[in-house]
Amino acid sequence: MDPVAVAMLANLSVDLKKLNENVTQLNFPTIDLSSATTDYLLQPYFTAVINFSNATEVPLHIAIPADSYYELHIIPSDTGRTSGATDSPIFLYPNNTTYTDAFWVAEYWRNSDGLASAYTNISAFKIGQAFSAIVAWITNRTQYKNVRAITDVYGISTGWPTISPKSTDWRDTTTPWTSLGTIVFPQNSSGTIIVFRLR
Amino acid sequence: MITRRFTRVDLTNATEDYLLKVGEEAYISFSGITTLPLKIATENDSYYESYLIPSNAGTLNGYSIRVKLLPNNTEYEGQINFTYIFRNRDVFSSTYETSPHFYIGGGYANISMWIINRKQYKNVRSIADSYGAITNYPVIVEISNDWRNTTDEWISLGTIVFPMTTSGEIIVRRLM
Repeated sequence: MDPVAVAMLANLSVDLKKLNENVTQLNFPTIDLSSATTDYLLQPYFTAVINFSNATEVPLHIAIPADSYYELHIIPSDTGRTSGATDSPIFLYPNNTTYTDAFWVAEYWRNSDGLASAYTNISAFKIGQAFSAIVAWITNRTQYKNVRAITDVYGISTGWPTISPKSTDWRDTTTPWTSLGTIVFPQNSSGTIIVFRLR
Repeated sequence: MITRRFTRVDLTNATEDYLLKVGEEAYISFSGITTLPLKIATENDSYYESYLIPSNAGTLNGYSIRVKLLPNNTEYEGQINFTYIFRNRDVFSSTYETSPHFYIGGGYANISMWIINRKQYKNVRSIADSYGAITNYPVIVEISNDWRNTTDEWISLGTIVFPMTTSGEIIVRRLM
């Protein structure tokens, strides 16, 4: 049976007292996409979980329609430290690809060196750096596509912790975003990704 | 209409730690206190989001001292590093310090936070509005704390310590 249907049957909780109010409450139907090979369309209020180990690229395998909205969490399991990571960005490649210079990111951060900020033209959504714990919110409308994140960066001499809020806008108002995409790390990374579809 | 739901466990009057399961949320109501034991057992490889919703009246009178989370209901001298960026009435500024506890807000604080408990990586991030001091109401502050101990077990989510007598509610949701 389709794993989405399995999850619905296993987790759907209907509060009979609310039926007259036409309210259906869902206890987070959860789909494990760790071994998925094709994209699944995550329904509203469904959750996807992806475990990954020693990966530099993690395809999320989540199909997304226009006018959808998501909350994404990356919970790394790489050991806390101030060395061993490559001091380069973590990206989300929408549609599993890059779009040259189509994105702008506004960000600021505080590490052990001080407070700094940047406003940069890039080719994908920037969500972290080196090793990162990330909570992000993803808006997919054809005419407005945005990813905001609040990130802790570690694994580099100035991190563990670094606080780094950021917002990336994909300045393309016509291209459909149909696959949530691939997370690309600057070195082998491990952990868990949770994606909630809120709309 | 569809709504998402966590199964709620009311821990307002709990006397011993309760181990939240994935998909459960703890609810705690508190009034006129400075110390709030959460009474939530935690375990390795767990992850939480939490909302601290104060009910103290908005004011410019009070202190901007730390709101703390003490993991395992105790302090670990020199083991936690925190950094924050804030804007209050007067300045846009930041800091990077060592601490014996997690720093999650200041004064009276309306807080959203995310808590990672892995033995090898323990982190608490928050975004807060702080109020209750002359330069506050509002203050926007974003904070990240790393507990630089990769061997100790974090088994009790801990105790929140407020700098002033505080009232409100806290919701803790276990996501992993």
